Amino acid sequence: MKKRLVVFSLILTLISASFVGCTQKEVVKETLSESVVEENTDVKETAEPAKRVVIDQLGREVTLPEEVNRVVTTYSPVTYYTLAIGGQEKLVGVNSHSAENKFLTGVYPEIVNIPTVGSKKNGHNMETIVSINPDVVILYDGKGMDEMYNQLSEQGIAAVTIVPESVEDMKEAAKILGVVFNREEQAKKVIDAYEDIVALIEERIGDIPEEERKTVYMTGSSTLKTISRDLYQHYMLETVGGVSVSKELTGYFHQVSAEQVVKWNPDVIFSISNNREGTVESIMTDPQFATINAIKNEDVYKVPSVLGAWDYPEPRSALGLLWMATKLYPERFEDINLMDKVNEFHMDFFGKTYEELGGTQEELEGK
Amino acid sequence: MSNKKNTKLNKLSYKPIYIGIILLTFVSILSLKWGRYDIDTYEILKILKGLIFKPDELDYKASNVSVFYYIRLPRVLLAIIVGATLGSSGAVFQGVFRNPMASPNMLGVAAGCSFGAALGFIIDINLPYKVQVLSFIFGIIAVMLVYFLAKVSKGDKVVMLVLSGMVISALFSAGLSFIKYIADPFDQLPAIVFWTMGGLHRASWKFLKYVLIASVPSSIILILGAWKLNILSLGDEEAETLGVNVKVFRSLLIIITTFAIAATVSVTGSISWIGLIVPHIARILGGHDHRTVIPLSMISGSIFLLLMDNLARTMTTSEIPVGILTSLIGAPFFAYLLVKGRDNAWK
Repeated sequence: MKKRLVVFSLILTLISASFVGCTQKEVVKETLSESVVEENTDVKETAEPAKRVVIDQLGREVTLPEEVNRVVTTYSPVTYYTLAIGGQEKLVGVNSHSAENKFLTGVYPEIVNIPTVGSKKNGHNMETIVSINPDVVILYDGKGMDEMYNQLSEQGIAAVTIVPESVEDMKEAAKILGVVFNREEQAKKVIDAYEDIVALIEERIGDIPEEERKTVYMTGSSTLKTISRDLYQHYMLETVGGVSVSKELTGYFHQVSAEQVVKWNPDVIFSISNNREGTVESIMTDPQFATINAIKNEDVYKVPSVLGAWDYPEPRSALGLLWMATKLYPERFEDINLMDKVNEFHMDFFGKTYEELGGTQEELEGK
Repeated sequence: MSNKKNTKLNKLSYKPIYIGIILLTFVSILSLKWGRYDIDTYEILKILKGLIFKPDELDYKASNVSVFYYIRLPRVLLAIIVGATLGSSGAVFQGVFRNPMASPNMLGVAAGCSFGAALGFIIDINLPYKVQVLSFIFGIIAVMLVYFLAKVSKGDKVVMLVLSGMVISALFSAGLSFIKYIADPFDQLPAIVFWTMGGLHRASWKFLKYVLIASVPSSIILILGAWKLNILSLGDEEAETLGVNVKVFRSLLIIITTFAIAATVSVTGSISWIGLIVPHIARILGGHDHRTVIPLSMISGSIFLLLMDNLARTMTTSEIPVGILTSLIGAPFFAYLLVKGRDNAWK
């Protein structure tokens, strides 16, 4: 009998608790919508805090708090941008694996103490994010992000989405993050540095006629995977005066046969840094590729770096462009000391030189 | 062996096997001609002649010879061997477990292999071919676990086997997911994902040798032991009364096939569907005697995988994962055979 009573009372408690939970949530919702309305009318009346309303890269109008001091990033490119524009002190939550990232810990050692909130691959822990009590959460465009946006909005947390998947979008992303972190000037510097490098390359290679441009095969995560013309890497090749042999492909990365690569017969092969098995040596010594021009001329290179891939849509891809250009047309960049440029870039945006962070000359050689 | 011909088994007909061999030869030659890189037929015949009679005098640096010898030939041979191994292993698994739904994948070998390979990518031990070796070891462990779990479970053995396969596969899949979770997302993870996708694009002489070492002895043992498999498929009790040591022979067959499957899977990743349907095709073509089922499974497996891989590597600029083709074309073809054929082995 007693046992039954205990169970009964337990169930009763649970039910009542869940009711309480519900009502509380509704109350929060109500006050939330009220405050949003109020703020909106405020904006209309005074037309002054327009600066604090940002339009993110999905076209959403996001109202930012007056002062942003607590920011959560949900995937690594955002974290890199944050560092580049100097917003690291405001980070209160970062994507998983940040503490194991040699580059991040080198630039900002305190990052190991910042709570991690999940990753693009394994999803994010909503409760962790809310418990951190952030002012702004930066999202990307991907699976589960719409739900997250709605949940965050319900909690009254501003959520800004960035989509840095093309050159223009990368600049836009930097600009938006500049607004969020209140570091617009530094964000502009990041964009300028990118544009300066593109201009320099254009000046050096612009006069090469179409038919004399070198053909390039760029790998994906394995040697027989390659890029499509829709990927950021394709744009990079175009910018540095290379002709991607796989430019007819669309979509993401494609698996191709060795035979197809031989048929393309590229002048240069770039193996991206997350192509683990595709070292320069493994490609050079593979008998299947022996008749390819790039092998005969020893023009096979590994894209830097161990500190993070330079072919990813993040600030350092500016260096990726310069690096690629010097590999394709070294005779046109003889006066440029790549290491100096790379060190300078890291110093400007990350406060330490490339070599201080653990980069080496050997990596820039790409061999 | 010939004195066993007139037991209660049907009379053997070797005709489908001969036809199969001729067909396989024909398809192989056709496959050598197909490819993204154009080599004309006369050139191919010249290279083949050179390879057979004067291999030292060939100019391996010439593009035609290089593409043919280093890329196309190993790939065609690998397709033949992998197809044969998957086909015959499927036949053995179905025979040993007396279950038409049994396939190597279902009994956990593929899940075990994938887990082992993923483990090989992330652990830092100094072991040559560690991915292949671990893949192989865990493939065997998975099948053993399934087998023992089914054995100690109470209930119908066939049902228990299917369930144990699901349990162990789920366990190793979870392990694989966990490894993917902890793997370095820029370095190890792409390698693991790439590996588990499956396909023959990694064909090279190095891998071919490795697969050959495992597949050829197992194929010979399977062909020679096929008549015993007939007895085993009558049921444990009847097989024992006929003088077959069921436990030993069954374990032997499982070890041999698992060994061969693990070796192929560790190079190609898991290619679905062939191990399941090819034995049924073989039975429809040549009856239910394992003395024809095994060789016919090998031949049909080879032809099927060769044709699918030819499509995979030539249809578009990029490769189509061969597993998609084996399912997409294999499933309707199998359905057709079920309707039109005369497969009644599992009544």
